[in-house]
Amino acid sequence: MSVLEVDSLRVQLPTPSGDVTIVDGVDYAVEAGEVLGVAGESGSGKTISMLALLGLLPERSTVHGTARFEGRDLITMPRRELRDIAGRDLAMVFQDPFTSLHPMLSVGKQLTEHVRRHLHLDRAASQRRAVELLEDVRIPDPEAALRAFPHHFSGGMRQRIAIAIALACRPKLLIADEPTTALDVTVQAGILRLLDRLRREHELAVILITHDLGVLSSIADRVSIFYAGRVVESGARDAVLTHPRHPYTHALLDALPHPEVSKERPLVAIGGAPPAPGRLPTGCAFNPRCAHAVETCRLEVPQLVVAGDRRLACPVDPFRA
Amino acid sequence: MSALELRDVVVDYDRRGGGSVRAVAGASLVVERGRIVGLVGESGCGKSTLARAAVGLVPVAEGSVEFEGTAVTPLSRRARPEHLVRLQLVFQNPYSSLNPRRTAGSQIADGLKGTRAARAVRVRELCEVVGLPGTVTSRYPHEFSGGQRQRIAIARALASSPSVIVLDEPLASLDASAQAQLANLLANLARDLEVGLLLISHDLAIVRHVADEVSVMYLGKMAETGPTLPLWTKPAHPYSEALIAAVPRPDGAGFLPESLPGEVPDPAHPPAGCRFHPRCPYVFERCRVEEPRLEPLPNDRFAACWLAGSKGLG
Ligand SMILES: Nc1ncnc2c1ncn2[C@@H]1O[C@H](COP(=O)(O)OP(=O)(O)OP(=O)(O)O)[C@@H](O)[C@H]1O
Ligand SMILES: Nc1ncnc2c1ncn2[C@@H]1O[C@H](COP(=O)(O)OP(=O)(O)OP(=O)(O)O)[C@@H](O)[C@H]1O
Ligand SMILES: [Mg+2]
Ligand SMILES: [Mg+2]
Repeated sequence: MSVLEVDSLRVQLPTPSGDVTIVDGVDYAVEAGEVLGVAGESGSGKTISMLALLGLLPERSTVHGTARFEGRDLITMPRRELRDIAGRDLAMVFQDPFTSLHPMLSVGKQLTEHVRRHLHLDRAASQRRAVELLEDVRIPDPEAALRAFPHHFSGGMRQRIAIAIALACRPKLLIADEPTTALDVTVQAGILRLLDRLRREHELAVILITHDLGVLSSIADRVSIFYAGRVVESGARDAVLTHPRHPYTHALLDALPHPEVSKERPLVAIGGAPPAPGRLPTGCAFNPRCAHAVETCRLEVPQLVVAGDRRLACPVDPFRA
Repeated sequence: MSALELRDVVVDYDRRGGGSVRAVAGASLVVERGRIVGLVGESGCGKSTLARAAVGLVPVAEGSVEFEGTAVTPLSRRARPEHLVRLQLVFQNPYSSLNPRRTAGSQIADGLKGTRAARAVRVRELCEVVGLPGTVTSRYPHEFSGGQRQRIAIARALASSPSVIVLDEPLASLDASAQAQLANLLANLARDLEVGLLLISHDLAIVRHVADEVSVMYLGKMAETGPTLPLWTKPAHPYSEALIAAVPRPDGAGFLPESLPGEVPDPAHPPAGCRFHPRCPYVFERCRVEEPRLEPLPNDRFAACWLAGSKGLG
């Protein structure tokens, strides 16, 4: 059984101009010990689709579909039960580290309270666990750090403290939203190695949202690529990254700077503008920016279907081997 | 005269319960108009602090900061002198720098003059420049994704036609295509509008692509500075070497880069001798006792390492 199995997830958010569909039928599953990498366009609904699982959406949002966490549906679960699970078995590192840290409480207070509440440790034991966690995420002088407040730390240090809090209760699933964007590459490597160790030794399942395709490449087992509220391609890491088949995935990889390319040459961004939610073009949401689009792409929304070694939402499939 | 010049800047923060932390311990940096200077380094090494010092948001304990020949002195933001309007900072965390209760459009318009209609036109142009649909202007910060907020913050900085922009992690939370677009935008700002840019980023691939020169910072000081390409191909400082080697490659191979071994240093208690010595694979006796200064190497390069001179660079 998968640790988490999300099926046909749809999210609508209220806006002044009416409800807007932000996530439009997303499926994925993650197994114990597995890292699922999620990448895609900025604004494509990656964060919202994760916040929906934890009941953290703005008021008057609507969520359809199911999200079975160890067999129980998070979407329909009573709030109180969800609160119990969230933070203990299912932990999240938020994209904005300010969201996860309380500005008025010392780091030590936030970390030890969390451990004490969920793991029922006494004061001394929770203090020890807190120091251990800060060492794991490589915060210098952990004992002094426990007495300090979030604004005393650099952006990347705050991000690491948020990771420490998320890992505090030995969750079964960690949803990490851009956990290493504020980190330099050597500290990032340390965090990725920590996650890699936890998934090997403790069967931690990880959903890792990141724009850094290098990070995906180094740790994800499988990847899902989002565009405009949908998954457009998913499959094994090496298949998708070395041989992308959706034109969007292809263009995304093409946009990366290449060491051999001279700096006089501009990087190749995808032409056109990303669609605004609520104003998606008909048919495939990517079609106005796609060089391979044909008539059907403008008429029908392509479904994510099995296509050889992966799942793909592109009937044209121009990069098929 | 350089557009922005920081000389031997030292910044201290008070630590809770007494004492202080020397977040920047004597760092120099020059940004000329039309040039892109990359600033990279370990998380917590003092990059944002240096950026804040550069625009007068934190007081400098020692050293000097000059913008277009005039000293930048810390003042309350309300009393920001007129000439500093052309020196802009885009903060690391775009969410905390945007006002949650004002629309994106009105915040972008802050730095604009002229009639209401003219400002509205300019706001739409600026949105276009940073790749946001012109329709976003009536929305509030919380209605945007992380990457969209970042672009609003950049559009806002561009509104006052700056000659130097300090950008603290402007590329984080952008997808590869949006990054490419922004990197191209930065290159154009430097080339066409002669804006000088100080680009702080952990995204080394982008820095490598757009920066004319790079400064590598470690624990409050510059470890190495120089023109981008030579520095990348043959780093002079072991810390630069470790940093460049740890960039993960998007090749699908599943290779986890190495992190730096050893204790993460605490700026309140920097190691004696070379600041990097406890984690350096090439450490020898002298490094433990004597701190190397930033010394010139061939081809406009500088490095603070006892071994740099013997690497045959240049
Ligand atoms: N509270 C909200 N009200 C209305 N729209 C919102 C709200 N929060 C987010 N959105 C919109 O929902 C869409 C998806 O946002 P989301 O934060 O999930 O994107 P994302 O894929 O995580 O992007 P990024 O990579 O930039 O973080 C965006 O277009 C955003 O503008
Ligand atoms: N307001 C503050 N009070 C006390 N110490 C601070 C404060 N702000 C930063 N520091 C400390 O100063 C040092 C440098 O922080 P800074 O934010 O400049 O790092 P950075 O290089 O920008 O890191 P990152 O890449 O993680 O953003 C860190 O050790 C941090 O803990
Ligand atoms: Mg997001
Ligand atoms: Mg910073």
